Amino acid sequence: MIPQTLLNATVRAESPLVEVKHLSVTYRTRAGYSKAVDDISFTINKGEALGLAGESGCGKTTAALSIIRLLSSNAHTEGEILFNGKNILSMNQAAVRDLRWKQISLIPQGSMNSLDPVIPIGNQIIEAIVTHKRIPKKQAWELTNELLSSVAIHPSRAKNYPHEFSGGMKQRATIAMALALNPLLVIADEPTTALDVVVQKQLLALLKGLQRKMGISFLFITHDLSVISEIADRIAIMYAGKIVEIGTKEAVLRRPSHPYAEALVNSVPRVFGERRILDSIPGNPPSGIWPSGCRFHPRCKYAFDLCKEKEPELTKSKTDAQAACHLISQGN
Amino acid sequence: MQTIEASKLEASSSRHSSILQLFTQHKRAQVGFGIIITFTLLAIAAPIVSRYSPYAFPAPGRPYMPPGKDFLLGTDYLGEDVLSEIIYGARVSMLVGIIVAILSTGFGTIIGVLAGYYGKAVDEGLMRATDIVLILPPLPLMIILAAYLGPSLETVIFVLTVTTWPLVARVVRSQTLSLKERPFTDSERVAGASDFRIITKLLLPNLASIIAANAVLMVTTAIVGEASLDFIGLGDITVVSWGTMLYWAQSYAIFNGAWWWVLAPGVCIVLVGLGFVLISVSIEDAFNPRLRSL
Amino acid sequence: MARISGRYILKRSVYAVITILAVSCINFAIPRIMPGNPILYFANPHIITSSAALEALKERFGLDKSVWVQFVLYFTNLLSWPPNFGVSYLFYPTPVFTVILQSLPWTLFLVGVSTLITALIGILVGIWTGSKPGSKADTFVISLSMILWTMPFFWLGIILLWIFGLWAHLFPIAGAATRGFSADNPLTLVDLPDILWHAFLPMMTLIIAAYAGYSLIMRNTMVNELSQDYILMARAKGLKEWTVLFRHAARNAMLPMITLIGLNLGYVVSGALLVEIVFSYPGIGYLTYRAVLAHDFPLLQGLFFILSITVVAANYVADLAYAFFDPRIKF
Repeated sequence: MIPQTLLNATVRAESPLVEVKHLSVTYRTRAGYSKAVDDISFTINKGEALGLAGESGCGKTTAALSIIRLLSSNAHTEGEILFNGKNILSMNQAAVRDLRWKQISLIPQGSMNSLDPVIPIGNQIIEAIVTHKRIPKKQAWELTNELLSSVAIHPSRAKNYPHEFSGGMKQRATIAMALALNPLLVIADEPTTALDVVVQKQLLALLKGLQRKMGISFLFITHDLSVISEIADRIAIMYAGKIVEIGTKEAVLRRPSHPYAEALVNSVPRVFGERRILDSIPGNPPSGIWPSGCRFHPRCKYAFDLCKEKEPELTKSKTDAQAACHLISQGN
Repeated sequence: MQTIEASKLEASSSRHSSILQLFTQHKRAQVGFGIIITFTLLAIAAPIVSRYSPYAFPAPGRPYMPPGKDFLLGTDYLGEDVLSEIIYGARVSMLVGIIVAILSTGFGTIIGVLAGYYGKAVDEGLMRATDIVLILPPLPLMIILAAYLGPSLETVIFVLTVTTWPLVARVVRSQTLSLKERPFTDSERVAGASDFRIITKLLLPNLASIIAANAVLMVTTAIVGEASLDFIGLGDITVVSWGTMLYWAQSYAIFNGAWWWVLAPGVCIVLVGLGFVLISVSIEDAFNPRLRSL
Repeated sequence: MARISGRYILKRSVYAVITILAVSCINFAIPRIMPGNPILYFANPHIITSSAALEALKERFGLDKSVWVQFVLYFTNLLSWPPNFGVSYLFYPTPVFTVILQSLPWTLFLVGVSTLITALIGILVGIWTGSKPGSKADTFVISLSMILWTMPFFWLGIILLWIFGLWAHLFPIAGAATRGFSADNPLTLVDLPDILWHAFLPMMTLIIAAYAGYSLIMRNTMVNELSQDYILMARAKGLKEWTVLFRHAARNAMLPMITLIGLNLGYVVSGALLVEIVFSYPGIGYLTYRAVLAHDFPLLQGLFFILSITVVAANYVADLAYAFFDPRIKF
């Protein structure tokens, strides 16, 4: 038997599952236009987990939701999002709806509110299944029970309402629901943020296990680097609507190329090792009004003149990652 | 009824500036104030502005004259000028509305603050009483009280106040409760401030915006309420107000085709009511941007 | 749908009973604390002029006894069946309760059907405008609601009556039905179209004016629900927009709507009273109007009591309905 991981490795040589090309998202608000995502590009290969990290407001959720076109009506999207070669942004509504959940599913932020409070959990899972597969009710229920068991929820609890579940259980139910149709890609938007560390660890282990077993691709969004280090194969760091660094987990976390990435990594406290004063990044991330030149320059300790004037492009760094920093392009 | 979250304790100077911003920037406030000021001026200057007196005897015109050169809004069943009735009627209707709003808001606020601040037994007791009045349908209650008290302006004011204060009390109480939770109240108490001081210096200023918004809204309710009571015949029908105009119009206008007599008071009630509603909504908007539609 | 706990029903029932008791006491107290000679509230001074007769009446109504005895008498009368509110002046010698019972069904019909239709419209328009806040349609509906809210119910009624009843001759201008009903000649299904025809204008007035009270809050509720995460999830699952709006959003928004209907009931009933007067619709409102004109105090007292009981009962039903639809309620 060829192990799945080896199969995945060979599959990786094929074209990527998701190709985001020059994606930009602009929101039209009462106060004017706000470009939440500014010309970003990344790929996700089959069976791999891409972590998308950054502070609140950097545009990561917007970028993720745009893949299944779940943005609000005042959002204007530009660019291309290729899924298995087809551009999602140019599909009609019916095609997008068909794609949703069957091929790309979502584990949203904090399932506190992600489940309809007046419908039992089992029925909500069934709804997801039946929308896309014409199978008899009985079969759908069996599938639901299986799914719940696979996330360690006893099937008898399928009749319960969301408020009768604990936070961790709700999240596990949501995970089960996300996997119901064996999607190719799962978008997980801060799935562990609202939960305590113990539950967090359980969930991450669960997700990792399921990913290995089923060979699903993940787009994992979080602001927590420690979480990302557990689950991601590759990491993209976003700041102020742009991707500032993207590379393999080892490259980005062990030897970050971009000053922001470096600062982020350094600000994670270490349990072991010698004690040191925590590094933090001074100032606040910009919102709406971007600084001139490189958007990070006001908070960057390496900033020099060019940084104020010209926006850096993503270039290949020493670690084979891509980073947008003038230091790199100047051969540092 | 509107509520806001007093999440920010603003210094009074910044509050004054935001109120000024209200006037100048908000179109709704401008329209609202425009309407109200127009009617108020008309009402105050009634003897000067109005060509005839609505109580004139003998009546200046023939009955049921349609709008024309001499009588811009026509005449009523006695031949009195409808426009003059409207202008003088504004005095009564708006005055009643404002008085009721002040009394009702005042009383309701006191009850609400006491219930919210002292809690427990005081709260239970006050709220049970409030609930009972709240659940009774307002018009029947007003009718039965007014029937016993006899038709007069004072009756109308009393009866309207009695039926409207409970809602104010409820709203104020819930806001007081949420303000009480905030740490600043505790710190004041620890510092030794008396209850009276806490209530007047701390709670009331922060409640001021919802109290104001609701009070303004109350004027509309009161004006419509006064009209309803007059319409049934429970107001003082010898006084000319928009409500009593409709009382007489209801019996006589329809079969004499005097549509202007019916239209005029109603339109005025709607306009003035709208004016106050707009002002109330703007007050609320200015202090709670979250409720603005996207 | 949830199973309502027995404790919740008990709690609501106790509350309803207490409120009814309070209303009874108020009803008892009002004529006795109002200025003037209380006997005049029970006997028509225009008919009975001799003081001896008045004294005799005083004794008959128990007004010469102590307040406590009167109180007991009052409740004994109330709790008997049929409840004894005295005899109406206007419809002498018919007992008040009988008079009210003949008019009550019409009002219930009017208010009941109007409330349902208004709620339905409220939900539909709420969904429509709530899903696109700030749009032209939204602003238009909000502005319209504001104007309607400031419009007195009865004025709207007069205008509709005039335009559609008198001028266009489309609808009748008075009454609930063309022929009269009695015990030998009761209401049947055949009469339904006629009844609806008569009820159309009053109901339309009530619906338009009552809608104004609901629409803003309903719209805000929908905007609120549609911004919730579970709606995002529903869309992410690939559900059709229609399904998302109705199966999920509207279903959740229905809960505050039920509460709203309960809270607004007093307001709607008051409006119905005025509308009945305008259209001479033979319900409780019209009866009240005639009672006021005739100084028929026994009738007025009975009306106030029955009306209040009805509203309390409706609120009670609304509370139970809310618990039935919201699985989160447990007591």
